[in-house]
Amino acid sequence: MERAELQRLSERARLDLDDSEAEELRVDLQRLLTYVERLEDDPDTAPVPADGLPQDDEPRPGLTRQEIAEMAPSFNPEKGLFVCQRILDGDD
Amino acid sequence: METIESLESRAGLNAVARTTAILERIAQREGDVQAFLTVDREGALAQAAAADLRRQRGEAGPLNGVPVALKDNLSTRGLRTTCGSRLLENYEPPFDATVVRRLREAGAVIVGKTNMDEFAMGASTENSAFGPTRHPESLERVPGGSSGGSAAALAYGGCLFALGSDTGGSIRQPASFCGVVGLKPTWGRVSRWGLTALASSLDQVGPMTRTVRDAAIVLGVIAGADPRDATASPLPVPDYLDGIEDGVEGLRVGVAPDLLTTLELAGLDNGGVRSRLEAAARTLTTLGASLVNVFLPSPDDAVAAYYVLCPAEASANLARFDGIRFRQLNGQQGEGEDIWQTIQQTRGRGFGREVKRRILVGTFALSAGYHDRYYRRALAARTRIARAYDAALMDCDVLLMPVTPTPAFKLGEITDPLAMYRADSYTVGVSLAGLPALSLPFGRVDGLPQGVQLVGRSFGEATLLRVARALEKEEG
Repeated sequence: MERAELQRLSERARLDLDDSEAEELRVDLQRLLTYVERLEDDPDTAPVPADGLPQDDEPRPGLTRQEIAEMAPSFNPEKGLFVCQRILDGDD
Repeated sequence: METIESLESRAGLNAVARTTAILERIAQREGDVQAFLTVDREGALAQAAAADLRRQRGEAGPLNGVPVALKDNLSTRGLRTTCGSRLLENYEPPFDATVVRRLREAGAVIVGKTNMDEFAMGASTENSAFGPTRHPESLERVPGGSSGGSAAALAYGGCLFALGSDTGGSIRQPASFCGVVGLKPTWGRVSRWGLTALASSLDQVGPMTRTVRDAAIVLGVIAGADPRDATASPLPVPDYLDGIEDGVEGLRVGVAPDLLTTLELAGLDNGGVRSRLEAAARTLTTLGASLVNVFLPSPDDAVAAYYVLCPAEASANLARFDGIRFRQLNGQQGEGEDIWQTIQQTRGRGFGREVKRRILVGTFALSAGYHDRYYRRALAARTRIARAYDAALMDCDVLLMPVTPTPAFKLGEITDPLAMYRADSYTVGVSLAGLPALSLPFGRVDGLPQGVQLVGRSFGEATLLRVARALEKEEG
């Protein structure tokens, strides 16, 4: 695993890493992935081709607060909170 | 040895006095062991006083006045629940986990919350952000993990039973290290509502006790359907004490000779564990059980599949910990230019090394381009492993296996993450299969407690407890 790949990974995972930590984790990940690749020796674990594969890991802008509020079944604009059914302190 | 049952037989015993004695024991040992993250002295004494009143009124539940310690990933209303992480250092849940509510309704007295590897990621309790727990018998050693605080507290007398959670062995391994009984129920037997999720397809809550009969009592209290957890099975909960003394006459016990060889060849098993396993097998045959050779998958394959699937699920489950929800943080809040940068900084500061490692592995395994090669292949391996366990259990009633390759190791002795993962070799396969398993103290290796593991069929806890009870009686 290249350093740049670990950098992209840490951004996707939303984890700030300092340089020395990133390097140690890169080495750990490489060793672990090598160990895990032992599963490739077993033909029974070959994944069956499937539709609906994950989309590319490209960041896209999220919805705005207003768009989310408009989609909610109930929204309290004064407090900026969704209104939902009470689940705590209720009877089973 | 005081147990839940021995308390029940002394119904007149004052719960306040008993709780006071437990709190004194905690005060004596905590300086050395650090099994607890929070001791709720006032709350426990108030609960004990209420338990005494209930007993006077004839309203005592099955655990009335019994002191319990809870792993700190179980939500307790108004009582700090940290998951061993700085990110939740000040978090007080507004609700009780279902298992906690059931314990309260049964009359148990919650004395405190126990130390654990951060977010249950670890096998030694060294990954707690609040410092390690030490083995109560040998302070230079670990108590196991991730439920190490629960096991240590129970072993030194800081409670009469404890709850832990088990994703890949986190009840069974510390139970083995500390010489107590640890039961991981079938996935779905016990509600996880209020348990902070590590890997949702694997997590289970279970009891840690001093005797097998106590494990049966506690499981009977916490098991069962829960409208708040759709994965909690609606299957009826039997009385687990029914038939527990029936012995093993006529039962078939599966053993997998190849299982030990793999780790012995890798130098992970020094032979002491094998000797205890063989002693347990001899005892069972003496009691009338028959041994059956079965095939189980390679421990290394199970470890490989587990350490893809668990991190993948953990990376998703832990996305919610952003340092903004669940109350904040002593000096670790990020100060980014926008919300995402702030979250990224906070998580970088707040999570420990092992949590970061697993989040990165999980994120990687789920990435486009690697999903098939790692995640889906691990899923396929999991299916194959589960089928192998099911096939083995067609030929026998329970499996007899080691819990761990070695007894408790020294603090700081295992620094290589892969070596630490391989310490889970005998437990993760059972977790992937979702089966119930029990760690039973069975003698000592190198002067330290060592357990053996019994694995049952899905929802076969009653048979598991029956076999464990037969072994326990012989072992004394």
